[in-house]
Amino acid sequence: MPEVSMFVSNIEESERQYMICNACRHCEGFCPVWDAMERRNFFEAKDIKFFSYLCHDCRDCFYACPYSEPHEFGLNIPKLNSTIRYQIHAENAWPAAASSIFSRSYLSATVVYLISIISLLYISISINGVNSLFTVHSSFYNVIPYDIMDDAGLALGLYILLMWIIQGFKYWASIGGGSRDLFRLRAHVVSIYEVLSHKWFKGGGVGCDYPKENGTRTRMFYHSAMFFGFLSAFVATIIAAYLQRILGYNPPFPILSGPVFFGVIGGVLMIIGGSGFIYMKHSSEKDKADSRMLKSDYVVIAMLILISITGLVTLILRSSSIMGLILVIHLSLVGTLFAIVPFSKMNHIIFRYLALLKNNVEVSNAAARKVPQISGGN
Amino acid sequence: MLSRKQGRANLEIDRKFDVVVVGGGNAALTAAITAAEEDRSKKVLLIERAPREFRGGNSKYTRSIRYVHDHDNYSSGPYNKNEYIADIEKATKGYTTKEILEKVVTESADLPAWMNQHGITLHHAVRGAFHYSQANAFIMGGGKQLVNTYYYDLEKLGVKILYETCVDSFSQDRNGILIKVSRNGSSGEIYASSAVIASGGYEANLEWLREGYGSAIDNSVVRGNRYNDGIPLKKLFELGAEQIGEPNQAHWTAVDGRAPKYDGGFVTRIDLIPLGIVVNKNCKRFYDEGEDLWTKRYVLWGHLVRDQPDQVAYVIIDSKMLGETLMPMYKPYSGNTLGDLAVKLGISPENLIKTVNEFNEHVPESAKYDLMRLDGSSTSGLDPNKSNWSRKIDKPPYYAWPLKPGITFTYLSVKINTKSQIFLKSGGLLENFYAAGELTSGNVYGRGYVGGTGLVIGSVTGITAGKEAMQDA
Repeated sequence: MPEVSMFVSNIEESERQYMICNACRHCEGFCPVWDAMERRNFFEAKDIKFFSYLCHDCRDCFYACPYSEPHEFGLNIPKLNSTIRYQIHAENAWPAAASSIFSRSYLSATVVYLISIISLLYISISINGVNSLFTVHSSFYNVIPYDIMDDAGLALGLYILLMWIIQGFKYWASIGGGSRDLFRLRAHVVSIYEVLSHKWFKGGGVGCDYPKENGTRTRMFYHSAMFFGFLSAFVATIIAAYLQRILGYNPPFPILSGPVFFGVIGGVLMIIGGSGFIYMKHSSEKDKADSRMLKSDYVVIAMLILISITGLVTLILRSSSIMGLILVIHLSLVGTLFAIVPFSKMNHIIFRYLALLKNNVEVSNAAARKVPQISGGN
Repeated sequence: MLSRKQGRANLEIDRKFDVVVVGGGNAALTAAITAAEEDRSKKVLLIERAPREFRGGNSKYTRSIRYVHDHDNYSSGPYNKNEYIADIEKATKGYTTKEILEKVVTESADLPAWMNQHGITLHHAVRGAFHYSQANAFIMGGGKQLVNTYYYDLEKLGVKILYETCVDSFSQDRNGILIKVSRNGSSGEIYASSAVIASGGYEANLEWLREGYGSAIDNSVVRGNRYNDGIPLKKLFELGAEQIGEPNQAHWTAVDGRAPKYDGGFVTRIDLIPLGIVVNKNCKRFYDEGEDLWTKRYVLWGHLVRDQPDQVAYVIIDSKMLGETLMPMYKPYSGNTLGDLAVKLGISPENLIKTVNEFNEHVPESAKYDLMRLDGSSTSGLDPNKSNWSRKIDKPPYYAWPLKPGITFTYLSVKINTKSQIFLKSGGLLENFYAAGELTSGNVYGRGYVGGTGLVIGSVTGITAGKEAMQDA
């Protein structure tokens, strides 16, 4: 297969580039990749796959490097890492045949969306009739019955969890992670802290050279909005499930309830973060990323924005006659995202977390082993 | 006026400037920033010889500053003025200019604050590869990050920048300085009230280097910037500037034999010499590989290799030493026997085996090996001996890296005073001209080099020149 042989050569090319980096080390401090690199003398495929997801794509290294393209050493670490991240998604897809869902992200999102909206319309119409889509309702379940919504949601949630566990294990094995290391509590605590604080979105203090050369924290801002927006929407869902299943309240919930409050905050934050991301990615320098990876970014970001917008519109118009139709559109978008998550950029949540975990395991192991580093001046 | 070239940026610029800075590295940038900040209403122009993507001269290959300090966040301990001066006097064997050295050392104390104010982040952590001394502070991202940051500052200050523009001549008239420039074959004229020349040495000018080094240059590489042809320096000499330093004094190191002819920078450097032995093409050892800590000897090895036949040498280690220090960018040649290795290197297997055996026989049996300090593990009875870190070369596979001399920068300079003004051979000063950076390094370095001082000389002379030039304008 041509893709496989290309992957091998990308690994070899990464090895060549990291050998130059390891003889230089000026980028130390931008991100954990450089410390992880310094713990090694030579690089194998497992190291390269580890580095590429430890990389947060800030691009500081590209601009700080006197050997970046067009220098004859031709370094372009951001681009290589992006390409290898793409390969990681393809390689760890399970079942393997499903990797084309990832590689053809536009097509698969469209097809899944069509399937999901058609099935929801079919369900809604066959149970409640066409008119129910254009009638004022007191409950969302008059449009889609509770059992169906609940079962589908739970099933999709479990499916994502299962897929993430399988793909996570595959990736963990591919970067040489030990099974015991998955239970290193301290490394988990540090990794979670790094995720929540967006520690590696600061370029070690100089900001990220993204989308353009001069360091800023814009990307950190948009990613935080996306991240906490997503978390907030997730919290809204949990509270809603609690209210409904344990306390027996049925939606729609009042404006001042947990689900609406967290849902609105989440939706607004994701719209801000998502739009910012699309703008930044659009204006970013394309020679520093794999165009296929960029495409898969756009799909997920666009879906999250659309879900947020339709969710907010559902809230605003929930007493109007077109609530039914909007709800169906919203739910089919949610269903689509859930269905494609394990074959989308959303997997970066798992891969990047595991790369951070591996790094923190190595950091605590390395304290025990110190290699003398002698080096001259300039 | 420069004519417009197809597909190139418009050169339709005003041809009169208050201050023109020639050069594009740290010294030029600090000079231009200081000049522009000194008087915002005046016009400053910077002329860089390289295209934008290769801007920054040799500064982009630097990473630290050696500076006078007390206890602070950027270093592992204090370093005072006397220690600093003593270190340079020792390295130069007294070939230095007292008042310039004094100025550079004294003003180095202010540099971290100046750099911070201009967007540079210095490393806080005392860890990793860089913190081998308490004298130096390390720049986050290294020299190119520094250069990029300063260019960004210039853009914000409204300083005009011309890339890919060469200076062809300087001349003085009663209005100031006339600078003839060219780009892509078209030429033009620029007038300046005063000018700062900070365009570096001539390490990429092979013809000029041959005057000092002869044909050894043909087997050497230029670690530094390929655009440093030293033409502005030559033009200053033609205007009668007084020379300081010798044409055969420069910063050299041993680099990998496979390094490119230009712009290899620091990554081609080989730091493995204390780990093994070094032989020339005749398989003869020629210098004590363990004479002193590597940080104090890395500059010497450039000169040593340059003096060998065909400017070639090989560092040879065995597998127990692999990974003891930074790995070079190039993979080693390897062999399961010394004979195999010699064949791959194209040197005589018998002679290499003989040299290694002889070395091994003279390694002390009970040696304590510690690379972090002078461990005293010395051979005895060899010529030359290896004074520290002597271990038998006996564990296959064996590894070798070919060595070549690499020139980083030249010391031949214009003689300056503490205001960065240029002395004339005939006496007096070259009016309205100021000099900064590498082309003044000979004022400090008649010989030798101390790590982390290049940026300091550049910044101190640059800031001074920028300020004085604007006061002139």
